[in-house]
Amino acid sequence: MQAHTLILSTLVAILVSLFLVGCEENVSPVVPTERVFTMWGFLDPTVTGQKARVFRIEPVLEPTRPEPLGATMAVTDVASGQMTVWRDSLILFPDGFYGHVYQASQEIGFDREYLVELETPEGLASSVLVRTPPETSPELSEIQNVRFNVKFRVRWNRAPQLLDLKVRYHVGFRSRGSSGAFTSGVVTLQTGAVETASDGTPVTLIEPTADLGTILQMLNLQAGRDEMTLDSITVAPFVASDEWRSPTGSFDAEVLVQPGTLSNVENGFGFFGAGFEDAFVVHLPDDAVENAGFTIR
Amino acid sequence: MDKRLICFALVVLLSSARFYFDTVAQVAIVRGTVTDATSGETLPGVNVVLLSDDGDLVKGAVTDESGVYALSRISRGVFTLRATFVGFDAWEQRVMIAMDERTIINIALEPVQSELGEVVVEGDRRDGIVKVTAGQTTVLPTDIDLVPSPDVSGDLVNYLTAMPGIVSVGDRGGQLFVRGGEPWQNLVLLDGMWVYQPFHVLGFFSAFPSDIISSVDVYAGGFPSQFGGRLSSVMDVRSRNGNKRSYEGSAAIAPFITGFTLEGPLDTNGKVSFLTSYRESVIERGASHLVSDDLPYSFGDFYGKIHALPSGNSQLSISLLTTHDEGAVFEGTAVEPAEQVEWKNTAAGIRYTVLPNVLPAMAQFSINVSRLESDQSVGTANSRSTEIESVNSNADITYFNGDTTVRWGIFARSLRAESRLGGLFQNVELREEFLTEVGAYVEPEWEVRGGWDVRVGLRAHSFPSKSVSFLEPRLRLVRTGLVNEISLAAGIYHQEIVGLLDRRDAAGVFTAWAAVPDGFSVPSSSHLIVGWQRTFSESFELGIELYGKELRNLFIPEWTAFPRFTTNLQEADGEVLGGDFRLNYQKGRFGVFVTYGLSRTRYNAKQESLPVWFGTDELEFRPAHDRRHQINVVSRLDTRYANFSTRWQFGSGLPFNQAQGFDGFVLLDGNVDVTTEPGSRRVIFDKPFGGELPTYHRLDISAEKSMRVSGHGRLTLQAGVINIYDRSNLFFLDVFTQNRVDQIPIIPNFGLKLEFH
Repeated sequence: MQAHTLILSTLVAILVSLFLVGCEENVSPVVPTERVFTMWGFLDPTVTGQKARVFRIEPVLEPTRPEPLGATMAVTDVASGQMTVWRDSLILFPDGFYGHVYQASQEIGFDREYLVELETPEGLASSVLVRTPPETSPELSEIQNVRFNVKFRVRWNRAPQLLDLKVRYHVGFRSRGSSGAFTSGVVTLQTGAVETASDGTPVTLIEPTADLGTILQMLNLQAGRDEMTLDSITVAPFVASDEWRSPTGSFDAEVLVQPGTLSNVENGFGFFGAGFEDAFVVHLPDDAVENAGFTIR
Repeated sequence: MDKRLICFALVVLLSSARFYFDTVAQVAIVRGTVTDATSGETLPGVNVVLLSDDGDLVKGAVTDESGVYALSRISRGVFTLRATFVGFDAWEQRVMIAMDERTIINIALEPVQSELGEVVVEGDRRDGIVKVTAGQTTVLPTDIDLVPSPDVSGDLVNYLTAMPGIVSVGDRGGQLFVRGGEPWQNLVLLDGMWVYQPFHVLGFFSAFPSDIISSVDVYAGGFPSQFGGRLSSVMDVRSRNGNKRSYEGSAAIAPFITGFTLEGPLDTNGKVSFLTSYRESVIERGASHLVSDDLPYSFGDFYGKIHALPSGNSQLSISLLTTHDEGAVFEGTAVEPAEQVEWKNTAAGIRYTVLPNVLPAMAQFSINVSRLESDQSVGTANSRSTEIESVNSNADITYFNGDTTVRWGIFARSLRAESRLGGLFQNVELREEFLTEVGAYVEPEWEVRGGWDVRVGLRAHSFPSKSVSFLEPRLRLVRTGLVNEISLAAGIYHQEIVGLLDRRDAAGVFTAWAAVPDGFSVPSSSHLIVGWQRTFSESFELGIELYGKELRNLFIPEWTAFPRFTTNLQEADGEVLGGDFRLNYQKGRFGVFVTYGLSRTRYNAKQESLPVWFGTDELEFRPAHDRRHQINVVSRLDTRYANFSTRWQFGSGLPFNQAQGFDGFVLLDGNVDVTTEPGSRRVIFDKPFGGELPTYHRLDISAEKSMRVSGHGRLTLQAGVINIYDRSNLFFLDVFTQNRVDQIPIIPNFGLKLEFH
């Protein structure tokens, strides 16, 4: 047989085979997963009302339907065995879409372990084990009192870590030269820095001198024209459980959106942690208040 | 600068300098233009030889794309000048050559008189599916006519997609991927004019109907020094010149498209001709009634050319091309709106070719203007638009010296690019930019022992306003004249003007043209091609070509689990390895060609989040256009009743982003109230491009019958079926809704073409 005849015959055979192999037309864009739910939220020992945002993992991208999720959520104190069932609430958010938020009145203790379970009637479940942070004992660790450079630190003993630091300045203000009473006000700033001491204890650094300008601006006051006193400073960090940490050190939505990046839910996705807003009130001595640029009453 | 590059540059320059000194020696040269005696059309590919009185070959040459030949380093004497070409009677003339004479002899060939249906024996063809040399394939209108298409006149794009290594992701969108490269990396020229988006929104049509084409050189890689500014490929389309002797024309009508051509002389001396072509789609009124699907596409093109022979040794042409396209390529998802795209190309140019009497050279000067306007979703919140226009001027000189030829040239280009993307690429700011590019190239070519043709080149170009310059070495080696033809091509390429597009799936069409954004490096590529071909007999030819391509500093969209139409751009590198297999069999009235392309394309992405997401700094993946296997089988049978042709095409599945499901995301960065924070919907993607779509295959058939009418006309009837076994070939898969959009189902087509002269 001539070479080219053999080659052609072989080609025809291959092509027929390929034709038969290529008959499959179906394709699924979604590979089903066994994971059931995605949960977002945290247990808060300082409040009674607890809540958690829940998504069912769906095979299509559709807005949440305004109907019950059909799943039972239970939060159990592991040590005592006490279980509380949370109820499903359908929330209409400002963006016009519905969402499921499970809520309950449940007392959550400090430094206790809880099992959060979400289960369908068919027995499909997602769960997460959460340990709440212990109660903290904050203490003022140092005050730097230098003219126009006042700063102080607060040690948050027993806190696993701090997120989302707020500082509330309790001030009084009036026009300079006025003999009238001071008007009271509270200015809340996202300011300060979180450091870690050598023993691992979180420390917050607050700089009233640096914040003075912002406080004046927010109260529509002018240095020189108005006078402002500083009554107290409330340092209010969010104390979070130890596992509530971003793998990159910062909470960037573009990074954390990837499923599994910040996730602790078994047989599901999402993150469920524990935390609370703590508070420590600092009264600076008069000379520190004056050095920071405030007026003494 | 790289030492190897310096050495290479020295080799190129010394070779060119050697040629100069050789040229000074006292030898003669015979040059000229070969034309068709009946139409005045210049003829590329004509064999022109100089024979001694004994009949021995003294010199030989083949006319180039302008129909110009050159026989140099001739000693004085009396010779026979002979020209032969398939379909024409041989031409001969006795010539006396004096020492150091620069002679111009123009040749007009008379066509062979043949009856309809008579088989024309093919001689030594330079075209054909197997004739690929170091990545270069020459395509003629007769090749295009082999492939069934819903246009009775034929269109270049249908032949291109039958070539191995050229991937189309579907029958719409107008995007061709050449050997792993993306569409914006292809340079498409029509008579030297840049055409930025030449393929129509419906994949059976392009700006190049067969009726206007003289020849096309397709460089799938390894292109020579005269071409640059692109990473992947060059398609150099040359149009016909129009009949200088008599008027000719045609009118064609079919359910997809209608059109007409008209050509003829503009003077009585046979020196000036015009050629026009106009086509307009009628698919919405025609073909859409033949299928159950909507076909909301509208497109058309116009081409006009005036060609003149001002003197015996010069040619002048003025060309104009316009195209328009509109259609909904992408029907929209739950989160992305429908993608209604529209674009317009405009290109105009002047080209002057001259054979100087005093120099053994050919010079070509051209200046042209090209413009693309493209819009997507006009009038909506997701509106995007892009404009690019360029003025290109070139001077290309070819020196002839016996077995050595030196090509060199200079060019200058000014560009304006502007895009409004509505925040599509969040980390890139695009503004209106004006750029100037200047450059030069030199490429000596000579024959060495063993039958090797060596062509080394160097291209240098610079963007002064951006302070960037590039030096690009090129190499082509071809060994011909023996049973086995071996070829090799290599080169380095850069592309400063890039196309940015959101290719999270291969169906994306809208491309924003811009200079490389601030903060990103200029994309570059390296090519290596090795080829072999053999003509076993008059009936059977075989060719194999292996290639590798390295791509650097590409822009790709970042992955995100957010189901949104905006994204960031990230850098990636790519590697392409592949092989093309081509077979051509011709016996009597039956012919078949088979092409098989095997390709592996991999991108390496360096997105910042990768270490966190996948535990690795880089991620290797298959891009959306990586088609592993591609097969085309095209056959033709000519009978006295009609000509029948078939095309079966097969492609393995393309990669896509598969999902595990959909849920929601809330950024828990502290004391977040989940009763007021709505969060976002989220896609739980599997590994990037980890899924594979189904295979694609389709059989098209066509029958054509031509007959004379009234002595001066010819009527051609065509009937056929696209996708005759109604295969549901997937075009787009919506991961969000699981809806699929299929390509064109079974659709009959028919056409009528009336030609007159």
